[in-house]
This record gives sequence, C-alpha cells and structure tokens, in this order.
Amino acid sequence: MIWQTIWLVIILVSSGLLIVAIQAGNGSPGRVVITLWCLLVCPGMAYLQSLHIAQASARWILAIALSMSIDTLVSLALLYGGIWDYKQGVFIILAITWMGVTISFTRIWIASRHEVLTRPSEVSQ
Amino acid sequence: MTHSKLAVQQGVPSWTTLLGHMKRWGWSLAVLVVAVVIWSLSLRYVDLDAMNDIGLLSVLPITYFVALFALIASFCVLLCRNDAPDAVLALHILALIVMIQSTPPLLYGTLRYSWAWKHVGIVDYIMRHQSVNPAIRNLDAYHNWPGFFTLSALITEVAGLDSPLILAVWAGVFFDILFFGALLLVYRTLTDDRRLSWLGILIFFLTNWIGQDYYCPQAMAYFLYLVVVGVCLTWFRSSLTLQPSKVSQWPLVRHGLSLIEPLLDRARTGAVEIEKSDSFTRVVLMSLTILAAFAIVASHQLTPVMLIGAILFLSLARQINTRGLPAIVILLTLTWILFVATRFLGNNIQDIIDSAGQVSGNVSSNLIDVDTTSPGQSLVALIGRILTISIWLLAFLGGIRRLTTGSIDLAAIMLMVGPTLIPVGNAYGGEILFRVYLFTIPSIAFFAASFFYPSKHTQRGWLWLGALYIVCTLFLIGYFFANLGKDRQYRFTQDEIAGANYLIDFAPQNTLLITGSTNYPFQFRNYEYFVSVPITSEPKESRDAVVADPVGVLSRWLDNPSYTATYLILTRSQAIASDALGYLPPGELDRIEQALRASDRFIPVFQNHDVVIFVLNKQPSGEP
Repeated sequence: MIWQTIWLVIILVSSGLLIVAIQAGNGSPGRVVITLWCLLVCPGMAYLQSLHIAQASARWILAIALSMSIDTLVSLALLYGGIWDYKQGVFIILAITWMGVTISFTRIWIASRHEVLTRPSEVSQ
Repeated sequence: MTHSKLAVQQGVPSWTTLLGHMKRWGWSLAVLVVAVVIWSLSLRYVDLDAMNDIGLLSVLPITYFVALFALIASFCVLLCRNDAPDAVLALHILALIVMIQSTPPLLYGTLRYSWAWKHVGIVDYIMRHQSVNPAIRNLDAYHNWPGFFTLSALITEVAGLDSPLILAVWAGVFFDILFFGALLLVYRTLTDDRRLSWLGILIFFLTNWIGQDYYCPQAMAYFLYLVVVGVCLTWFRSSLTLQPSKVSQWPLVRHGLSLIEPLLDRARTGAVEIEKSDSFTRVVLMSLTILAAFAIVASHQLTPVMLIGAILFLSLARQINTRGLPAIVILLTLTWILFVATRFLGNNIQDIIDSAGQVSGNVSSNLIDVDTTSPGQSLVALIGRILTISIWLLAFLGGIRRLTTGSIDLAAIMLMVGPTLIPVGNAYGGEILFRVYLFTIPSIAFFAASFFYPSKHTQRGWLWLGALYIVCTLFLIGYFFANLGKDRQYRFTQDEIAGANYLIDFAPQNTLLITGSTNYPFQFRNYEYFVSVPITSEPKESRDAVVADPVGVLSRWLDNPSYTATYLILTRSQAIASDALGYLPPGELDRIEQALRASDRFIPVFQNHDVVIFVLNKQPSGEP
C-alpha cells in the first residue's frame, strides 16, 4: 500500500508539473517528456493502482492502454464537439486522472482501515 | 519487518535476490552490454550513400550482425536454462527492439517511409483546422477514422511542438515496446511454460517483418487489440465447464456437447490458472476493454473487424466469458460506420461489394510482380515470402507437436481463425494479406516456438539449442531483407526534405503537383493545398506518352488553368522507387529530368543534390 500511495502522489505531482510546463510555454524536451508521461501513463495508472494485478509489466501496459484510450476519446470529443483546444483537453484528462487518484486513494484507505480492524482477530486466532 | 521481506511481499526483488541473479546470470548481462556497445559503435561506420538495391542490409558492417547474433545466442542459452529470471529475458528483448528499431532513425536522422510523412500531414491538418474534413479528396479515410491523429495532435500541442515529426521518428521503438508488453500479457494466458512464452515473443519480433510498427493508426490499434485480447484471456477466462441448460438437454445438442467436452478438457492442458480478481477489478478492466475498443473503432477500419473476430471466436470456443463484449464492439463499429464515416462508406460501397467473395483477387492484389521489379527487390520479395512460408511451416509442425503432447491450444487457434477469414470479404487496398499476417503472427509465433518446447516437461540439450539458434538467426537475416530491404527508397535525405519544404512554403492553395512517383517526403504540411499527379500512378498509356515525349506531355499537364499554380518535382527517392519497382523503364525519371532541363519550356525554381522543382515557362524563347 505504501507503493500504491507513492504512485498516487507521483501522479498528482506530475500533473502539477505538466500545468507548470504548459504555463512556461515552450517546446522544451522537459515539456515533451512530462507530456508523454502525463498523457500516456498517468490517467490509466491512477485507476489501476488499487486493483489487484499481480504482474508489474501487466500494470504498466494496461495503464498505457487505458491512458491512450481515454486521451483518444477526449480528443475525439473535442474535435467533433467543435471545441478543439489542447488546454481544455489537458484539463479534462487531468480531471479524469484526479478522479482515478481519488477512487484509488479511497479504496486503499478503506482497505488499510479494514486491515487494521481485522488484525486483532487474526492475532487471537 | 526487514526491508528485504517488505520488498519481497510487494513483488520487488530484494538486494540479496538481485545479487544472486547477478552472480548466476551476470554473463548474459555482460553479453547484452557488449552487444549494445558493439552495435552502437557499428553505426559509426555506415555509409548510407553506398546502400544498394537490397536496402540497409547492404551497408551494415559485420560487427552490427555480430552484436545481434550474440544477443540472440545469449537469449537462447537463457531459455535452455529453465530458471532464467524474467527480467533478464525481458532486457534481451528490449535490447533487440532498440537495436533493430532505432537503427534507421539514428542513421538517417529523418523520418523513414513516405506514408509516415502523410500521417504527420493529417495531424498538421487537425492542428491548423481544429477539425477534420470527411469529404476531402485526398486521404479521406484518415478524416473518417481520425482517432490516432486527434490523439497525436493533442500530444503534439500539449508538448508545445509545431509538428509531431520528432515523435514519429521514434514511433517504431515506442510501438514495439508496447507490443512486447501486450504480448507478455497474451502469452501468459496461452501457456504456463515460461520458455514457450519468451521464445514466442522473440520469434514474433524476428518475423513481424511487414512494418506496421511505424507512426500509423494500425500500430496503435494493434497494440490496443493485443491488450483487449490479453485482458479477456487473463481476467475473463472461461472456466471451460459447460453450464447445463435446457438447450443442452436436447438429444442432438447433448450428443454434440459430449463430443466437445473431451476437447475442452484437453484444451485445459497447458493453460494457465485464471487470475483471481475482485468485482471492482473486473469492472475497471471491462471498462478498459470497451474504451480501448472504442478507440480502435475510431482509429482504424480493419482492426475492429479483427477484434470482433477474435473475441467472437474466443467466446464461441468458450475460452472467454465476456458474452456481451462482441455485441458491444459490433454496435460501436456499426455506429461509427453508419453515423460518422457515412461519406466514406457512400464513396466506397461499390468497391466493398465488388471485392466481397473475390478471395483469389483479394489475395493476388497483394503480391508484387517480381518480373518487373529490379533484381534486388525481387530478392527482397522472395525472401519475404520464404520467411512467411517458413514461419507458417514451423508453426504447423509446432502445432502438431503440441497435439502429440496432449495440448489443444484453442485460444491461440481461435486468434488465427478470424483474421484468415477476412480476405473473403475485402482486399483492403491490396494489403489484406499483410494484415492477415500481422494479426495471426502472435499465434503463429506461439506455435513456431512450441516446435522447440512442445511441453512444459521438455528438456533441451545442446543439439536443440544449436537448432534453435540457427532458426532464430535465419529469421533475423530474413527480417533484415524483408523489413529493411526497401530502405534505399524509404530513406529520405535532408535535401529532399528541403525541396518539400520549399514547395509547401511557396505553393498557394489549389496547386497541381506532378511528381515522379509517390515515394518522397511530402504532404506533411498544408497537404490539402495540393493535387498530386504521380507519373508512375498514371495508366500505362499516359506513362508511355510521358516516356516518348516528356517535354510535350508534361508541359501540357502543367499548363492547366484550373489550378492556381503548377509544379513538377523530381527527387532522388522517386527515381529509386520507380527503378526498383519497375513502374517505368530503368533510369527513365533521370532521363525525363535531363530532357526538362534541356528544354526552355521548363524553369527549375529549386534544386539541390537530390531534388529539382520545375515550373512551366509560359514564354519560352523563340515564341512571341
């Protein structure tokens, strides 16, 4: 659970960095890297953190696939909605990511509470 | 709790475990590092201008192949030791991907393959117009299935780039790494023999020569396809037990089921345990498959059909229990075609109807005529075909060996059935055979690998190791011919890009552009400004007329008042492609260029070592 929480913090920090990079307003290599990270990994990883997926490689691949799918559908919605604007796109994707962070964090918190509450009975057995 | 115990509990190897691995497997990591170093040094001694008709292979130094052969040797030895760690095997595959896929971008410094440039042009269109135009005259399919391009446009703009070119250059490495991860997911569901999984992955990358891992919608759709299949087989795997129902009590059905039951029992053999998951995990993963299916449907024409085939046949064979998923994907696909890609459907419905059922025609339209191609390209085509037949043959023999050990890999078989039926329906612009190969290659590679490891209990000695190594190295050589054998055409120089940029910067909207062939870097900016007329794509009579009288015919073509401006561009790569594929007599585009230069009816407005751009001289000397 420590690792999962660290992951969620990394995702939140990354989204903050992306906002800063966009505000800085240049096409630096750093902005390219943080964009790829925040758009192709973070949205999916936010939702997958609280899932029971045994293989780390599977978690990464599912995170990228989910992120790619979310980004594609958001970009299509902007295009066909006639409101194409990358800043709006980023805002929507970050909102979806934060929602995933919230859900995962809540599940991790509930699981940890459950673990704490059930621990005495395990000891008594 | 100590640090190492905590780490083991969390699936992270402890330091002691890592040190143990280093002692035992350090030799293979040393081989890997040496191979990468030799490979990187080899790239310094490549003379691209010396490349001949068999492509990149002709200029790569022997040390380049020594590095790759050493890497494959290390991988094969690791496989024979049954307990090699996954991380070490994965590092070998990653090194192989990087060494092969990053060679062209590192050597060329420019985007390889003319279609990749066109894809950059669609992204450029979306970034400029913030929309698509489904009725556009050129490349209209991309405007009707724009998912990949809208994603690329979004990433490009968020990254603060003017163009996705730099992303496109490295797309090959990116997509192959994604394929690798997705294949791991799929293969772990097909067998619990790690050696079979890893060898299948190696064979996949050595035989996937058709080159659909560049900057294109197919690459993204294929990755998502593999993930959907992997998720279904991992988390929605059927228990393979036949549920009693009223229908199953009917005599005929009951008799049929009694025949199938032993088959399903045998199909269980060799299959891995179903991954246990809670309902929330299954909800999230089912959402993922639906979202991924939607992204596929919006990005590519063919992949949704392949996906429907895969999950439908897997469901029918009771390998997965996502009964609603095929219906959802069919619904998404039909909705997209009927409500979004309507115009494309209307324009192409006749072709679709005509090609339906024409299996022979659909298949034969994929193969180039080796009688007209250059000797080098004939050899490249021949080796591509030999590689394809070899892998199919090995897969067939592997399948037989699996059967003899009592394994019926229904899931792997079902993943092949759907794609092989597709040529009945469509030629897919003369590419259907290659796409069938692409979608069957995961299963084919699995069965080919099972020739060497038909059972989990199979132990292999040095003789088999030698045979495996020889087969893998032959596949690698075949891959270099088949995949990189056209790189004399697919590589573009900075001079050619400078010529293309000149045209794009100066040509107004509604420009007629006559070109030698379609093979050159173009359409990556303002692509809708141009109407391209490649000489090599014209009917034979027109081509013959140009060859007979280039100045007279081409001046008539350029003297067209319905266009705002007219240009004629001839490039190095156009001439190479024309000669290699036999569109025109050898050296004809060079002769046309000489004729135009000698005529006062054409003025070269831009020229460098690899490009010349002509405009028509409206008042040639000697005329009033």
